[in-house]
Amino acid sequence: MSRYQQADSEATATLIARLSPQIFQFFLAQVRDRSLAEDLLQDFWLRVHKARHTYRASEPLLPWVFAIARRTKVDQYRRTRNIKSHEFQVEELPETVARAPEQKRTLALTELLRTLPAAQRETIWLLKVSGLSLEEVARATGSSVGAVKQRAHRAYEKLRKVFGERT
Amino acid sequence: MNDEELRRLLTQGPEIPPGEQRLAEIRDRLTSRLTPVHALPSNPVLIAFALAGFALICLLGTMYGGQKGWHALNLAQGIIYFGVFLLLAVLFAIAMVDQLIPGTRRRIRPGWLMGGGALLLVALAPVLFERFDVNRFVARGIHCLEFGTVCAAVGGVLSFFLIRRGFLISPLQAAALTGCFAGLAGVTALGLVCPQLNAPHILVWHFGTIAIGTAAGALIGLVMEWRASQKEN
Repeated sequence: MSRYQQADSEATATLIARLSPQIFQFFLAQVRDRSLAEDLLQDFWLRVHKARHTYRASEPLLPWVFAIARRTKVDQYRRTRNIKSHEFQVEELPETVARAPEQKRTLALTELLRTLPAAQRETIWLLKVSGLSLEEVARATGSSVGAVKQRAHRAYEKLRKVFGERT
Repeated sequence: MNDEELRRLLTQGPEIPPGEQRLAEIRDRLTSRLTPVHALPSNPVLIAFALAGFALICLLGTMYGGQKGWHALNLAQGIIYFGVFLLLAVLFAIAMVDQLIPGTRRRIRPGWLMGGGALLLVALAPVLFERFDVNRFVARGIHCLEFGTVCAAVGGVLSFFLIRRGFLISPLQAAALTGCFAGLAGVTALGLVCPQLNAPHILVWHFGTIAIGTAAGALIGLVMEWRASQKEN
């Protein structure tokens, strides 16, 4: 990251290659649309580029990165909401989502997380899938460690209940 | 499914990678516009800048309006009144600087700070100032509100130069905090200038500056949020 700040193109390419998969999965879990998740990833990197001077080498990288990713997602949500409020559907569209076999595990995971409210889903994803610590999730989401713990606990309770009903 | 299976499913993670073509596109866009940047100064330096702006507003205010307010207060009133302003200015500066850097530890929650600060000031005025005279309330007060608002506006402009150096994750919160901080600078300048030690006057016409600053900041923040959600990169 420090080399990216010093305009090292090789370091920039490495950073993009290393971080993109994780960020992409984060977006995919929220929007469940591959093309939109890729658009978000691109938007996210442009924001990272604008914000790169705000990163300090003494601070952890992942909360900084996920805070920007979260903001990108929020802006996309608002943009979509604005567009939807100005649109009306002229005819019924057919369901065209074909699920590729390699997506099965992701779908199981996103199906599982879909039962949760957005804030809990995001917390569980950051904690369990992206592997951030409680402190890092608190930093990324701009909340306290206590609030993160509470959200994670509630999410876990709900997931247990959902699986209790299904099995 | 038991807890362990649930935990395993969550930690396994998905396996869909982003498209190679899209990654190449991102890489090309970013590397084509690479220029070296300096990292932001440390938080204490940024807080010191914010507080220097605060002090400058007070100084300019007294240069223009005099120091009758300061001389009208007794020592205990002066220490408590301006001590509270100074304490709030430091807390607001810390909260404001926290907004500049994504993923930073939030040491002070902005909502709590604004709510707590408002309650403290509302409780402080009747305790410190025992006169409750409302004679020529509007005629005497409107000039104070004007003066405080002008000072707050200058403070807001100075603070804007600071916050534009950062990357705002929550423009609404950041702008409201900045407006509140600027309003506080205006109130402090008013406290030094205005000799009317009258609780209703101070509550409405002095502290009204903070309300105006916060509202203006929140409005600017809303516009910033709206613009960010409209922008397509």
